[in-house]
Amino acid sequence: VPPNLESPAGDRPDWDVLYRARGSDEVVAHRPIMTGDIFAGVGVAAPREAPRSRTLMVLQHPCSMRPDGFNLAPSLLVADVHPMKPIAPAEWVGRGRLMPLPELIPNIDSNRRHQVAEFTRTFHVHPDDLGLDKRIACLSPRGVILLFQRWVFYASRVVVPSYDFHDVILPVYEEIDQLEDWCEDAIAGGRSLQDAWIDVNTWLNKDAGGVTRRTALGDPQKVGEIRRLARADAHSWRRPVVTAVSESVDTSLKQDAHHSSADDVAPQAG
Amino acid sequence: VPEFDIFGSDEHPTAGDDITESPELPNLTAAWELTERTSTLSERVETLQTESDELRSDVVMREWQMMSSDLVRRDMPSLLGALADLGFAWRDVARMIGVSVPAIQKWRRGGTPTGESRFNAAAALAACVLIIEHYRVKDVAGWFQAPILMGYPITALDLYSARKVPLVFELASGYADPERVLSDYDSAWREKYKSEFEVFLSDDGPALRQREI
Repeated sequence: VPPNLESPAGDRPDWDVLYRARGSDEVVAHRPIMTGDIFAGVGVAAPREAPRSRTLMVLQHPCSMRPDGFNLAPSLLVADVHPMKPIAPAEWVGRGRLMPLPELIPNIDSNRRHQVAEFTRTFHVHPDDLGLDKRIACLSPRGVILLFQRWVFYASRVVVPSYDFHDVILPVYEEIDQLEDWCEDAIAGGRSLQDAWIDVNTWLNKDAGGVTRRTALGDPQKVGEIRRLARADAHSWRRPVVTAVSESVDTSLKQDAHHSSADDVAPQAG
Repeated sequence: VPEFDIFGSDEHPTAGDDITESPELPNLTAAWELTERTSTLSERVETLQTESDELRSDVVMREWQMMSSDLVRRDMPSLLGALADLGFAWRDVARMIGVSVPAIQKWRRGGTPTGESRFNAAAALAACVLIIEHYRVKDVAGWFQAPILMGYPITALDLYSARKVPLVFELASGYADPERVLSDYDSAWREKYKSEFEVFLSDDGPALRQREI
């Protein structure tokens, strides 16, 4: 059977598999921007039009949007997101000019519940315009892979089987997950988002047997070990509740001073 | 018909007492009977192997269920924490339990799971414990995430998520033929997951290119 554009879950209209998080209860600010993230209320101007507030989806691969591996490029490619009735699983083989987003806003009954990202209406935005407080949804690995399958088809008229995208998406998705998990622990322990971000990136650049930990996240033989180490080191920021309450402010300040250098922000394993 | 000794002499020793005797083959009838007997013996060995495999599978599945019932007494954050400590990502944990990542996050923060979800979390942990203890798999999270056969993207995590748990244990045991396991999972796996691309590391991250023919 020749490959074709795929639906999320075969014949089943199981739209939940597309999403990692939806709405303010699920989307967290400390998750780095990833392909497929959807932002609402972003001011952007179409050619020969006045700027207006739009809902937008990030299209670029995470490696492409971070040329130095860390900072976002000053111009990110995004697609317009607008309401549209859900497309049945069998119809996902067509309509290659869009990425269906059924149940994007599942807790409402209006026509905004189901939306699509329209590849024929793309824009460039500065990353600062995509405020993390404006993010309304993040895609799952399956969602990101299907987005790439459709976007590549739209851009090149080539159908690439979804599983072929798996190996180029998962290592980066793994890294984004790792950053989110670390920041969650560090922030819970009193670290600022900015400092936690520096900590975890420093940690990921350390050696893991000839490659950096960041690179090792793409190796199934190493990823489990890296996750275990990261979890243990990030947990060092969490303090027992009783201790945290009883300790004085001075102690906290001393701890912050002790961890002020990016190089010794977290205990190193091994 | 020339008479000859099919099992040869002492130059060709065999493994067991029952089949090491050099049979006398005075005529074609005797040879025919011996062929029948050896065929029967092979069938018996095959049957014994099948029964042994089924018994091993049945026993480990029962042990898995018993251990799951035991572990379910632990609370949900404890079960989830134990899985994460083994090296699983939250999205992998979500797949094993059959729920979404946000559901996992809610339970980690103290939300109340359904009884079924809690049992599924206990079952996932029990499966990991059995694989570590019985089959000496040290990095169980890495094992679940590694492709079963090089060049095909199917993993033990895919099998477990599809509730093909006996196949997961067979695979972990090392007795199973990976190709047979994949066929039991999806009979069309060769055609369906055959890739014309390979991953390579470009200067700014992982990328795809067509395989060299």
